[in-house]
Amino acid sequence: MNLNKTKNEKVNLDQLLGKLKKEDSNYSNLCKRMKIVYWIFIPLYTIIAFIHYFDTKELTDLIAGLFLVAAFLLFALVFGSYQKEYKNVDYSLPTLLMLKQAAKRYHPFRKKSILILLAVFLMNASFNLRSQPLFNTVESQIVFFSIFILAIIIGLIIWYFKYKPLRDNALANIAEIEGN
Amino acid sequence: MKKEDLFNQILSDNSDRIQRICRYYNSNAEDQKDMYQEVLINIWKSLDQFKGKSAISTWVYRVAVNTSLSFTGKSYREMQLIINTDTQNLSSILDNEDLEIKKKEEKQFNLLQNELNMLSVIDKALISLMLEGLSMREIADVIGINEPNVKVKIHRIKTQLKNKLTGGKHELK
Repeated sequence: MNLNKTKNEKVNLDQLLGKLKKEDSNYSNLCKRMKIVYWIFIPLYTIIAFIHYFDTKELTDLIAGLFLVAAFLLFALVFGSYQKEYKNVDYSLPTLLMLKQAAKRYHPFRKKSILILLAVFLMNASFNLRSQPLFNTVESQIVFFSIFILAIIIGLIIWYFKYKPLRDNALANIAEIEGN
Repeated sequence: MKKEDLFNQILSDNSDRIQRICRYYNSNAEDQKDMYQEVLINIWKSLDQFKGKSAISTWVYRVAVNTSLSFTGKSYREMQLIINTDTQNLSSILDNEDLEIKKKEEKQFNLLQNELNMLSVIDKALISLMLEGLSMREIADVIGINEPNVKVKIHRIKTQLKNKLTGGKHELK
């Protein structure tokens, strides 16, 4: 079925609907899958934490296990929030409101990032609190913080080249619409 | 009504409208087609949020203008506003009924086209909606500001264009 009469602008509706549905679900489904994985991990690792505690009778093992569960919980909540955000992308908002939402979305440090940071630190604490840690504490911390800082730098470089121009444009347009 | 049926109905009623908006921002057919598809994708994505509070045409304009602002195929600086000599509401920009001499009209048109492309993205969006024949109320509804604010902005753009076209010899109304 063709939508348009002119030769150059023919769009196959059936093909397009397929694309639309794919677009609709891509990000949202990815986040949904991640969320489901973490919600499966949460009870599983809670049980493992308690089993491990009953084996070793070490309170630090229980705390380490629960820290890991708490990290999973935070990841599940963040992915749930991203799923909701992608699912509800709305281009029919008034332009000013849409621009404000875009500027918020492209901010390098969002509230959600704090939750992710907290989850990463909880995981790190969990690995180091165990009565029989897998790695030497000092060495593992050096590796952890090196990877952590590198990840932040890479993230900021990607943001600077990919998202900062979008945010700057959105902010400039907001200022223009709101000014006279 | 099913989402697909509603989508098809919106498309059949507003296809020409969307194509016109796409033509305002893209001179070549391929870019027009890309933007047209992106507008359709965004209409589909936003369809679940349509509550019927505003007219469907206003809703479609919002999606089209918002897509033009975030259209990934072009950078903001490259974005141009393309108008045709047969654009129905072209006279609404100039407010000049004395443009009867063809040559002068053509020259004015070319100048106008150049000046329009010097406008900011937001001003281009406002002018494109005005060329579509939307009322100030409807434009305000699309952009998300109040009606007096739209009037001030349109007046400023018109004054700026008139100044450029007449070399600052026209009188402000």
